[in-house]
Amino acid sequence: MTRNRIAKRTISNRSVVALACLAAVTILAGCGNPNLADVRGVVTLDGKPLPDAFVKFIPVTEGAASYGKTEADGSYRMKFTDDEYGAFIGSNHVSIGTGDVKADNSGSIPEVVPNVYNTRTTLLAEVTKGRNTFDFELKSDAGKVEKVDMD
Amino acid sequence: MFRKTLRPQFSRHKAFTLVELLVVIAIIGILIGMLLPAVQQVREAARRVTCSNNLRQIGLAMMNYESSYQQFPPGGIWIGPDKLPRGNRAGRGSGWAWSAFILPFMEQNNIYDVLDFPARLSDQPNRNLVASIIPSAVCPSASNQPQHFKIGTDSDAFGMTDPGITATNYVACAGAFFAGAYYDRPLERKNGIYAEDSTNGFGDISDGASNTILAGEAIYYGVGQSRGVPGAFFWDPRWFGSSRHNAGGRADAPEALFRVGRSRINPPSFAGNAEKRNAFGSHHPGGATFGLADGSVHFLRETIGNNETTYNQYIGGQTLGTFQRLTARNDGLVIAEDL
Repeated sequence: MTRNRIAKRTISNRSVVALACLAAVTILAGCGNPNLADVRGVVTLDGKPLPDAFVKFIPVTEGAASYGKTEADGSYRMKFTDDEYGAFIGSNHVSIGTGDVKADNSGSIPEVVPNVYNTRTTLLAEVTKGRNTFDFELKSDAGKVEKVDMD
Repeated sequence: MFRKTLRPQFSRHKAFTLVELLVVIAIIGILIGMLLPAVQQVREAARRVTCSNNLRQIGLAMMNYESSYQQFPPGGIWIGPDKLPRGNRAGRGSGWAWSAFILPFMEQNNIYDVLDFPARLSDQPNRNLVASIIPSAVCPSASNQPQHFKIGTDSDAFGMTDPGITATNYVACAGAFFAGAYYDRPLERKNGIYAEDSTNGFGDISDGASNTILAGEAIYYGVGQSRGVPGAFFWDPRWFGSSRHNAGGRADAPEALFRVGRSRINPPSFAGNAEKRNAFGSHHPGGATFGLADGSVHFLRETIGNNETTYNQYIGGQTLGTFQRLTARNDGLVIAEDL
């Protein structure tokens, strides 16, 4: 009698574990684009963290761009869509700039980063599978500063 | 005999144990968890089909216009003193969009016949008519956007406050580069089928009609209002035309009628405004719908190749990615990816 009850309980516990595994597999399956890899880092301008800068990774050959925006401490993490982190694996042109237009067209937000980092970027990043860290140390005297990119 | 001894044993365990109940609940939970997203996906698929149908209607209307007039409708026209330098457009009236010209080919003659094209959008009878709801102008997945786009204030010469211009999710394709729709740019920059004052016909699509985008989807980023309102996005798409502000020389908003291939499809919400006003986008997960010049409609994934070549890089010899090749009508480059 008691043995019987113990046997029953172990079976139910086992089935609960199995179901939990099944649920986990169902939830995890179908997530994530295999072409994307996590990219993060810190952007500094003349040694100081650069906040509110748009960071863009544009694949040289296959795929489309990922976006990031730097926090107050200059850190960024690339996103492909609003809920998908990462940038395309492979060679990426990197563009970093603060310039933009205001949403109601009442003026523009000034650019502080020289054009060799955005409109005529020379930055290149090799994104590999797994986690990538790219820190960019920008110099404000590296080139001239251009207006909002209308090119 | 056996049964009799079994029965009293079972009666002692009449109720379910807690674990058994939990298992049952877990199974039901998993089943619901699997079923609900599937139902949502089916509903989204249905909305996407409706959206493709809208774009097919628009594409066919554009092609019928071409058959009648040997050119696609102009991307946008302006009234008043013409060809003033950009930023110096005082007195230059509001612009009519390609979408106003295809109305007779979409069985909207009742609106088209009354529109007064030499007058501004904000003058009567246009003011009332440009608020007309066009059934195939809105993507059903964009259900939470306003029905109308209000412009400026009543004191503005071109103000369109109540109810405004009817909203749309469909924009014409103005080629591969930023500013490709602006009338005062070099011809090789305006490499889309559409631009301000454009006169392109099938003969101008040297890449072939099946390799060139006519129109695509765009979404609302703002609150359906153009100025002085928090969250307003000046370039949100609208159907009849892009009436202008009368403020500071920042006159027209071509991006409200056109989008280009240099921005990728569906940029994330925190991308820059300069980016978002140029990008095609949709509320469909994973991509956006496009109408091609051969009458076909394709759902292009947002991962489609796009190296975001700028105009200066292009004339400097850099090649275009697949998406930019599709948006340009005369780049002469082969499209290798399967659509």
